[in-house]
Amino acid sequence: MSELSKAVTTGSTSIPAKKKRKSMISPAVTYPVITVVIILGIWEIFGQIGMIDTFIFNWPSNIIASIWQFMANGAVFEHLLTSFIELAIGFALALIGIPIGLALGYWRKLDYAFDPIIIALYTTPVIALTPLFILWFGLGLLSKIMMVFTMSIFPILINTTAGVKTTDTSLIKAARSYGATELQLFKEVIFPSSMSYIVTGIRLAIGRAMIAVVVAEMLASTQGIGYAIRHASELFKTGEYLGYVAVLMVISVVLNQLLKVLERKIAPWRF
Amino acid sequence: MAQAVPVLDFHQLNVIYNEGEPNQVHALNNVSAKVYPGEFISIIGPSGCGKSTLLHTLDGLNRPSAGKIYIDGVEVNGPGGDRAMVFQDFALMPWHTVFDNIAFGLRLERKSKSEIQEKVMHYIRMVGLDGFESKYPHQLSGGMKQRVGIARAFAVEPKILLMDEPFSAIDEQTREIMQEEVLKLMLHEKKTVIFITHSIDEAVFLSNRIFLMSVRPGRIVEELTIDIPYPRTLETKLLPEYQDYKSQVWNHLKGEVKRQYQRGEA
Repeated sequence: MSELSKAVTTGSTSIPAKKKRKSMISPAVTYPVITVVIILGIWEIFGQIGMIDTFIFNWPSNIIASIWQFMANGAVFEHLLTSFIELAIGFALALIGIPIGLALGYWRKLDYAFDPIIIALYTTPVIALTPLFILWFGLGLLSKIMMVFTMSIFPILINTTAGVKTTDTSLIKAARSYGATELQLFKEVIFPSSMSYIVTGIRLAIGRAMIAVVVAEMLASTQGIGYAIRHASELFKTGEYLGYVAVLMVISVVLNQLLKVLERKIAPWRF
Repeated sequence: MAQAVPVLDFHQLNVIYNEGEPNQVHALNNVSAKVYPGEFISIIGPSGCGKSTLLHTLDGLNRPSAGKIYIDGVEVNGPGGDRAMVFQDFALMPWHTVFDNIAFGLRLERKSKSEIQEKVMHYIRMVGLDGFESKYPHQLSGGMKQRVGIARAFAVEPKILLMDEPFSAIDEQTREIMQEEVLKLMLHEKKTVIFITHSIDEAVFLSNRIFLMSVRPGRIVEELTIDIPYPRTLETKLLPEYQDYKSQVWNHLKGEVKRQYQRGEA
């Protein structure tokens, strides 16, 4: 009798607890986590049974150990700081793309005039100019800053222009009807309407800016995350090498997600 | 209701799009009328007859190719605070709250914060949106969106309200309620209204005069006075003369639509 009642009480408490856990974590989170864990697990097993040559590749536990090491001795933070400075300055300069994009979107003739140049520069892999930039601007920060600038200005500019062009004409009409001057039209309608496009441009530009920094540092530098990657690979320290790549990956994923959240915050009606 | 001085007087308005080019369109042809204070005028006609063009021209969004517009006897060119427009597709700023959307015209006029606060709250209450001031347009139903549009127009305290098929994107039941409300507001606030519509019922119910327009190039071909006293309620629709007026408008429209059909435009 007492055992039965115990079973009933434990049963009744465990069932709602299970239900609660199910509703707390959505499959949108659990499924990708499971996939990643399985892939990492298989990768690790392949490494442990000796099927991976550490001269050319490595496996998760070794990579994590390297990450632990360069985090503990602080080397990674110095490299990250250098790269961050180059990225921040270059990116801040590239924000000039916003006013240029606004102007191009608003004055159609200006857009006609510059469109071919912008498209050409946007679609050619500007990254190929890195050696030239190093010749022009030296081995230090400046060449990386200029590379970041050149790579990231175009997505910002092009998205801003698109944002202006897609401004709902009936909103422009409404603003004019209520007596908006040209300047008010910009401030009250065109700029806020383009805001979410501008953030999309910034999100795309950050990816390109990171490529620019890493490639420029790999080619010619003594500091920064790109240099660290090249240095480790030259010494065939594949664990460390992949560790730095993993750090880069985590940073770009986090930045990208943050900006996606920002896009939704700025223009909830678009999503 | 008619008084000696018209609040709005437009004279020989012509609008020609792409003038002198092969795709030239003669949208309005010598359109003239006088509108007196407190009148509710509906403009009805077959689609593509230039009703919206006429309204936009009166607002100042379009420049007439020829003709003049006078408000209280003074010629106007371009938009002004004496007219305010309510749009068919609401045209609310999606990044602004209900409050900021209603404040839109006042902000453009650089009114003081306290004045904006006071007027906006007044008109929010008037259209029955109290409690919704911090909602965004995408959180509202069509009927509520248009209440915001109407409050925005009232907030600049214009003499003339220009309404461009304001209820055509709103469901039938809400529309009937809003027609009655607009009528009440207009009588209470003593506004003059120019109202574009497709709906014969809406035109007869709301107006003291209806301008009937022809197919393109648009002209006012007939003017019908609806002699049913205000205030009108939904019971008004049951009066026999109400039905008579509706069939009069319909007979005219039928003729115009047939002409358009014969020209292969419908």
